[in-house]
Formats: sequence, structure tokens, C-alpha cells
Amino acid sequence: MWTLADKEINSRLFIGSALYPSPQIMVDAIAASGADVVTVSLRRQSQEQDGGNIFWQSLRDLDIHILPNTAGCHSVKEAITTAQMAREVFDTPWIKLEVIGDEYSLQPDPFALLEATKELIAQGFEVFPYCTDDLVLCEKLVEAGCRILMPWGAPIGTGKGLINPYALKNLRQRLPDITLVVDAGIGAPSHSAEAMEMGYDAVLLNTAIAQSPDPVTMATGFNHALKAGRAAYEAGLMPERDLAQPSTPTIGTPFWHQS
Amino acid sequence: MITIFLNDQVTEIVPEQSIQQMIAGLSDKPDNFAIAVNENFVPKTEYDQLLLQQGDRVELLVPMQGG
Repeated sequence: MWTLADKEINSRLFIGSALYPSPQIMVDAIAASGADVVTVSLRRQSQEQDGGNIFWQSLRDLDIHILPNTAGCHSVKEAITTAQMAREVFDTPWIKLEVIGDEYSLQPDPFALLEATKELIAQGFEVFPYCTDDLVLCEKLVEAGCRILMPWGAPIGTGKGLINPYALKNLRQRLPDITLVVDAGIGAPSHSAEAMEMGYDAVLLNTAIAQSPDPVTMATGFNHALKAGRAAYEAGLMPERDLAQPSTPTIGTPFWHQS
Repeated sequence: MITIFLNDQVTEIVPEQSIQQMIAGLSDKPDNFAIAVNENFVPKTEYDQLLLQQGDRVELLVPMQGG
């Protein structure tokens, strides 16, 4: 068990609810992942989606923490309004705050993100900001009142993994008391294990599971990988060395090896 | 009649209609939703007080999949 914004949870995987081949596969994949937190959004209703009723009922039946997002917002005003609507619909102060600054890379706008964060915290939200791995931005988000930060591993949906491990390690070292979640860019279970080995508290991903040819089995893979990575972090990794050292004892080496 | 834009769809309603009344007139009202008018969130507690005006842009949003 670990503590996320005053809630006790088990899994270190936050899972997205989009892009699955069907609602049933989404439900099965979430269950297989072991995730305790699922991300959702708000959109206009459509006939095909049944007004969101079936989707929402499916998630409620899973009895899982809901983390609404502000995906698609490009301004402070849009993000704040969307967060306020999400709080009412999902009955939670949690908000994954996304304010996109670049349409090509979907990179968050750090200035708008910080401004929206300050306003939402003042309104009582628990803000989970989707941010870059920039140390100064992250420190300012913490100063604004964030207890959780979600730096990207790579741009959303790319599956490139942790493209700047130096920056991510630096964040972990410089912000030891903040809950850090790698959000976006995770493409394989090994990427999530790497984040865990760095001491990150959790990983948020969607596409890598939902767009796998077999989402349920992939969700199981991520479930195991996160546990493996976390166990490695808690155990402590061996120091890296430049020179080889034999692991088999040299004492008692047979004479024909001694020359 | 006045014209409002409900999720960008041109919609004719009677003047002095509240959000509560507009919702009651919807043919496919979702179970769970939130509303913003002209990009400002409107809490459910204000649905019977806020009267829609000519040209208002109403967003009615529902739970949906997200990453």
C-alpha cells in the first residue's frame, strides 16, 4: 500500500480508458492491470456513445479511483472550466491538468499550466499536472501547492519510453517528498519498470495497453513489470562499474586455469 | 423564439427559459452531465436561476474515455 493524495492504494499503475477495441476489453484490461486509478474525460454526447452512460456505469462497477483530465484544453480558461465541470460530473476534486502548448508534440504549456494550477488549487482541487521534466517548472508547481507531479516520459502516444532519463532522475533526487508519476510516452512494460527503478511513485499510460493486439495480456505484463521495478528500487540496484569483475570465486580455481 | 447554440447545434427555445427548462425539453437527456454557458461552468444548483439569452453558447458534456 502507498498513499496518493491521502488515499491508500495498492497499484503503481494509473491506466487510461481510451482507445480500446471495445468497452468490455477496456474493463478486462483495467482489471488485469491491477490499476487503482483510471483516467477519464468529458466530451459532448454522441448517439454512438450512448451519452456516456454505459461507459460511466462500467467504470463505476470497477470501484476504482477516477482521475478526470482536461485533455484538449489550450488555455487557462478552458482548463479551469473543464476541471470545474469534471468535479461535478465525477464527484472528485482530483484533476489531471493538461494545457497543451504545442499541437505537434502535444507538449504542455508551462506558463498556462502554472497559472491554471494556482487557480484550481485555490478552488480546492487536487491538481495532478501533466508537465515536462523541466526542474524549474516542477519546483514552481510544488511552490503553488502541488503534492503530485506528472512529468512526461515522451510525447503522448509515441511509445518512446523515457527519452530523458537524466532529467527524470534529477527530478526524483531534487523532489524527494513529492509524488512523481511518469505520464505519457510509455510504450513497453520495460519502460515502466525503468521508471520504478528510478524511484518514481507511479506510471500513467493508456496507448501501450489499449492499442496492443492483446490489451488484456499486455495489461498483465505492465502489472508485473511495475511490481518488478518497484521491488528492484526498494531492494537497491548494484552500483554500475566500468571494469568486469568475476562473479564466480577465484579461490580454488583448478590448476589448468592458472597460467 | 430565441436562438442558442447547444454543443454548436443551432437550437430554438422560448425566451426567458432556464437551463432547467431547456434540459427538460431534451429528447435524449444523459444521466450524468455538466454544463457551461459561454465558457463558464454552471453548477447544477443554478440551473433553475440562469435564464438563457439570445446567442448563448451552451456546452453539455458527459463522461467519456480519456487518457
